[in-house]
Amino acid sequence: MVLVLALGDLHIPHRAPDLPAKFKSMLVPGKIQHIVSPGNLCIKEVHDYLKSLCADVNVSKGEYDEDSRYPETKVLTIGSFRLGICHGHQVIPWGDLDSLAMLQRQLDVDILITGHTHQFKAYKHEGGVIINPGSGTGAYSSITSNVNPSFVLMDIDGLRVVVYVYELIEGEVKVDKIDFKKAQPVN
Amino acid sequence: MRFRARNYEEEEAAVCLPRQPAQHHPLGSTVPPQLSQLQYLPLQVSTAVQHFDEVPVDPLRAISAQDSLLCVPGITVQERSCPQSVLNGTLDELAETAAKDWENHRASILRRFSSNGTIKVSAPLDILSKQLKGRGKFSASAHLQELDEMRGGANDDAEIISQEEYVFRLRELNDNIADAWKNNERVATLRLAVKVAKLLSDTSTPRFYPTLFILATDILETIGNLVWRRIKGKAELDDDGKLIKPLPENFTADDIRQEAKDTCSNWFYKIGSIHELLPRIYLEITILRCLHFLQKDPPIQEFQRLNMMIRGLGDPLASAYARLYLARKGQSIFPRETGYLIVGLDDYLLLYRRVLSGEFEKTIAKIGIDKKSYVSLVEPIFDLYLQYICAFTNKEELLFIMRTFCEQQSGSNVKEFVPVSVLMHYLLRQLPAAVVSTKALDLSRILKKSVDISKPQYLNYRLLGRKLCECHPPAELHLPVLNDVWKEVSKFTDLVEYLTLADVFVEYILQCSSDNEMHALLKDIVKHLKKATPSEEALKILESIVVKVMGNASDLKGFLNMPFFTYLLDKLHGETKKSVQKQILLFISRQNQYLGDPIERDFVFNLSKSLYKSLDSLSSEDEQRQFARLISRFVQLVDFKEDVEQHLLFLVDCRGTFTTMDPVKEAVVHISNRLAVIALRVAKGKLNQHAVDFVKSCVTFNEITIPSLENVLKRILLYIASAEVALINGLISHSESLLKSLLACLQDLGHMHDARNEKFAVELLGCIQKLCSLLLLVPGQPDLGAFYLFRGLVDIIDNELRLKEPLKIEMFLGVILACNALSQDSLPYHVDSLEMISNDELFSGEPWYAEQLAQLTDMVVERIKKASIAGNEAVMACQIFAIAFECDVGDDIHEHYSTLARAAIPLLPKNSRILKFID
Amino acid sequence: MALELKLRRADRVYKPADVIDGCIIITTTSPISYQGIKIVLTGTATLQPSLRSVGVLESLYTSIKPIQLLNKSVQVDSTGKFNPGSNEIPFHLTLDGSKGGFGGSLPDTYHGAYVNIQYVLSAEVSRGYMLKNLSGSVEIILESSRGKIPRLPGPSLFVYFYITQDTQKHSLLPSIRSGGFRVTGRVMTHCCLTEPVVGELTVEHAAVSIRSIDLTLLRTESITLNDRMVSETTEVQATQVADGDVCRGLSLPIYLILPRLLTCPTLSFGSFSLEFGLAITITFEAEISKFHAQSDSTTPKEWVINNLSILLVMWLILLCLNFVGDTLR
Repeated sequence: MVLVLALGDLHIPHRAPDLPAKFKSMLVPGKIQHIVSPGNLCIKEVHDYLKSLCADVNVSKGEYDEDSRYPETKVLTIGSFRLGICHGHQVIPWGDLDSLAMLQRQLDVDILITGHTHQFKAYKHEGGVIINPGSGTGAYSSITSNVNPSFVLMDIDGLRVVVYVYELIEGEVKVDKIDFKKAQPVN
Repeated sequence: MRFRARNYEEEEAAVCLPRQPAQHHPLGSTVPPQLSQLQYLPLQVSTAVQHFDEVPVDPLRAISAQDSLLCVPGITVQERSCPQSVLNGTLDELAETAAKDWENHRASILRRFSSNGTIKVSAPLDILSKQLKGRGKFSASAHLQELDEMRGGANDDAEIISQEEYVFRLRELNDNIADAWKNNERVATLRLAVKVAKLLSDTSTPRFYPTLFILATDILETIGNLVWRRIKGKAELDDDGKLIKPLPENFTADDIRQEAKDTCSNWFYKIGSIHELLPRIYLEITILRCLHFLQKDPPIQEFQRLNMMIRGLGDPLASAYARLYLARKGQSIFPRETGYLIVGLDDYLLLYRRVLSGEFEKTIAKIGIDKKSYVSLVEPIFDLYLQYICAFTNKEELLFIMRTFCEQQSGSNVKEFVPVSVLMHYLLRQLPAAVVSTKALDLSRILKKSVDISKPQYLNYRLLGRKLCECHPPAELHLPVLNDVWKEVSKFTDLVEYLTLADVFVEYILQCSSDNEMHALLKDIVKHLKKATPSEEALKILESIVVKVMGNASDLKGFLNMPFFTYLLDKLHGETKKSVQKQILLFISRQNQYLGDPIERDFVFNLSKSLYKSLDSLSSEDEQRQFARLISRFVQLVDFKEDVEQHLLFLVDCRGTFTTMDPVKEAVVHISNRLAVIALRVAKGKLNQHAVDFVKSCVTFNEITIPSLENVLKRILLYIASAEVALINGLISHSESLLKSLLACLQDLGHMHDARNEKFAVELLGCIQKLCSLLLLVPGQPDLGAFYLFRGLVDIIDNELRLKEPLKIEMFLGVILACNALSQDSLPYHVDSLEMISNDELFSGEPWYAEQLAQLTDMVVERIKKASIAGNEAVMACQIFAIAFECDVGDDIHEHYSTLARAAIPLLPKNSRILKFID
Repeated sequence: MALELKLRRADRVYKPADVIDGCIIITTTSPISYQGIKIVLTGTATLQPSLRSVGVLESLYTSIKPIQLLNKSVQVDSTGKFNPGSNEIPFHLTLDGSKGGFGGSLPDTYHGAYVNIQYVLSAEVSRGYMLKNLSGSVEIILESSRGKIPRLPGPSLFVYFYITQDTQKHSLLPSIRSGGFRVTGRVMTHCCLTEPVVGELTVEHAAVSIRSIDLTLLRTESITLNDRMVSETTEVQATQVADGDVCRGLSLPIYLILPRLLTCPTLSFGSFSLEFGLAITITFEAEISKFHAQSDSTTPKEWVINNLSILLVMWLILLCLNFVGDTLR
């Protein structure tokens, strides 16, 4: 049982000063084993903050990230899952299923964490899962200023993943969950 | 050519994973576990086990329970405990532990008193001189003659040699001793050992004495070990060298056979008959450990006697180091015995006070050293003795020791007695903070009087301060202690000393006292500063004080409002000023709170300005980058709340002030974008004229600002960001103009060399891909064509950018994906704005629109066809073709697709998902 | 052909009741027959008056007959034959001191300037008439038992002393006399040989800096010669107790380990006696200018001020060194 936090598109401080207090109070050090972020944390202080929650922080590069060392894409293995991270501003059109699926094929991952659209999404497509945790701060996106802050917590246990979606709607944290299993590998 | 039709909504709905509200979730139990962890730990564990199979219920709670099991607080380790082996160990182990500890002291003595120069070696002490005078010649007159030779007549044939030479000769002597020992010449060994010890009688080169002491005692130590092993050998082996039986590890005198005991006593007899006091003491200490072969009790009496015998050494230096040697040896035999140490130190203080009071002035003057240096030469004895004395002592004993050294009883009256400051120094250092804090007031009173040249008073106050910070005195003493100390410290005239203490006690006040005290202290500091011009050193300390005060403030206001704080800031100049200003900016950056107060804002703005001005062509790139970042952080945090107009004006100010700092300009563009979005949000999506004007001025501000950035990529990104915001606000023409500027920027880029930089190229690719997605949103203009921006882009990529072919292909493939999206009846996304009407709504179904799109697509496809695509590009191109187009057999797209597929397939693993997709 | 005596105890130290054992080693190239092997242990006290006390002429004709303390022989073997090579004949002999004519016990081995107490063990192989006997000898050291005996402190065992400018018979430097000094202390007067002589000494006052304080162990040997007593005092050992200008009022320990062989129990035996004493010497610092020219031509001539010792103060204390077990007598 491993907890993986997916959190991205914070745009701190350009578009938001900080994570919502309600999120911050939930995110306490020591609970989470891995953090994956599609990027656009923006400043290094945010990275430091994530580091304080958990030692293993994986970030792919968003176009506004200060730290130029982040890779464009990153793949890691957690349990029996391969996770891929890519910000998604490069995906044409933004958030397009086919294009994301192509990316997923290219990275050859079971779960693709992507962002940019600032809208939470979870797809099961061609055997893989694509998750967009949305914007953790509710920063305005390329197309709208109307964004609810959200992030995702994945509980990976064996072949099973429970995705918890945390969304801040009108000041209240709403938690949904999505349950899925990895298909047993053929042969 | 036929675009593959998409129905975004349906497709999405088909694959969307269903969400359902979660009753429990991992982050939900954040608060309870901390409580329950403490109170219901066992219960928690059992629930965790129960839940284990029913994931997903509450994984985090289970984890926290397990975690807390792992970190059950251990039994609190006793503070002053020491490894068991030290207390119960065999003599060999004790010796080893003590040796290790000594190693540190040895190194520190050598380091601290390293000296070089020459040494006068008087003839009788010349270590290379002939054999010792034969025994039996001890007539009083002969001895007097010898004394004269040593002290007076020595000049007649004294030899001046360098210290290196001296050390070299000592090494030779060491070798001689080793040889003598190997040849079983015990008496010769002893004679040489006496010679070595005698060297320590000569204190005429005081600076070299500590080094000499180390070197000589090293040799003696070797001899001591040789003797120990020899006697142990005698006890284990018979006369013919056959093993009788090995001694048990914890052997006692009872296990030793008589022959070995006799040998051992003989060593003591021989050493006891040495005439001179100092070598006799040293050698007896050297072999003292061997008493273990003779008696069962630890040699406490012998230590006490030697302690007393050292009283006979009238030379302050010789006496101190002999005591050092005794203590060192004592540590290896009975580390917990402190009685003789306390008495010894007390004895030494009598001698030491005579030095301080000036009795030895002539001697000190004669050997050519100033009194202060002379006095400092014996510091190790205080260091070592107090360490040893305090090491195994409990609190009551420590208080007793404090009383012993800090007060002296004479007759029935307790006379007020001022301890020497060096003693207080090392006592303070060794006393546990808890003891210091309970006795803080007493100590402060003692320190007030303990003023002499052995240790500057301020260092002792500093130690006191540090200990008080480490462990706070009881609350009712917080203030009295501070008052008592400060009454004295404020009298200090040396600014560095004064500030050093202020630096420590600022910390104390921050921890223990209120703002009132802090204000009073700052006021006092200012008073002192007004009296003298601070030196560089003083400024450094002042900086540390400012940083401390700042570090503890909850917000900027906290210390800006502190009276005199700005005065202190003004006092600083040069590097220290810069450093403090930097610290303030760092503080703000770390606080990460919006700065709304105009006074604070102005203060920091001016400070940033002065920092900015301090930069010149000589400043390192690193510094420039650091300052730029800090200033941009400040700019980011400035907040005008609803007053967006003022905010924008502020941004104009920043742009005008920090003209050469890219990060600051980048920040202001982002902020201006944010302001535009805020304006929209404030107007609840419906902009009135006033708001429109404001948003326009934001966009205009960006249009002016962006070109002044040096970094082209940043420029491109900011153009995109600003265009997005313009679109959200429905400012189509503005966004178009921004995008045109962007294209112009790209065009310029073509002439720049860094276009070939790999990393740059990859980032540029990202920008262009993002641009492709963005351009979908920009409505076409009938007169210029629906896709004039796309055409421009394609043209620039093809003709202007100096990029490697594969990158260009990737960009073109992006355009193809965009074309597919544009061909749909409904675009995949729209700008969330009432004013915005996008291409699909405007032109969907218009034949000319489709035609122009086809032209654009053709153009790009043709361009792609021309290129020879291989490797990963082929794999990608293949997929993109499959995504974008319907594969009609016979079509030239199909043809090209087949070509690409042929290039791609061999590269792919057999059961790759891509392979399946292409098929 | 050689004879060697080898004792089992390498240090050759024996107590009065001990058994001396070892072997006689005879090395020979040809076979030898013998008619008896004998071990003889003799103890003698030899007195040699000093030239100073009796004069040269007198010393030439005055030979005092050594006093025999012990004479004991043991027959080890009667007749036999040595083979070529090394032959070892073991022996043992009880050192029975009670038979000595010395107040029931034997005095310890002692090598003094004028008195010697020596014990010699010799072996003799008689080879028969007309043949030269083989012999060899070795000194053994007699020492009373050296176990620790608790020292019972009592005022009667200590002598208290004080030294001031007024206790001195010889002239003192004016500065020392005017400033004055006072050194006090006590020292044990009865002491077991194996135990150190202990006591303490305190410089209570001294206007002039002290350079050194030394204790000298003195030995007085007296011989009755031609009906008069001739005594001679010699220094046995000097021990420094203070080196430099020690603190006033702090007591310094006196701790003298008695040198072996050079000391023995105080004894008085008709024709001779041995006594021990202790002298305390205080040396002061006093400044006297001394001109001194450096001979090195490259350096300019300079004046050097030196410290010279100029004063001796002595105090004699009689020590009574005792046999073990006799401490309280």
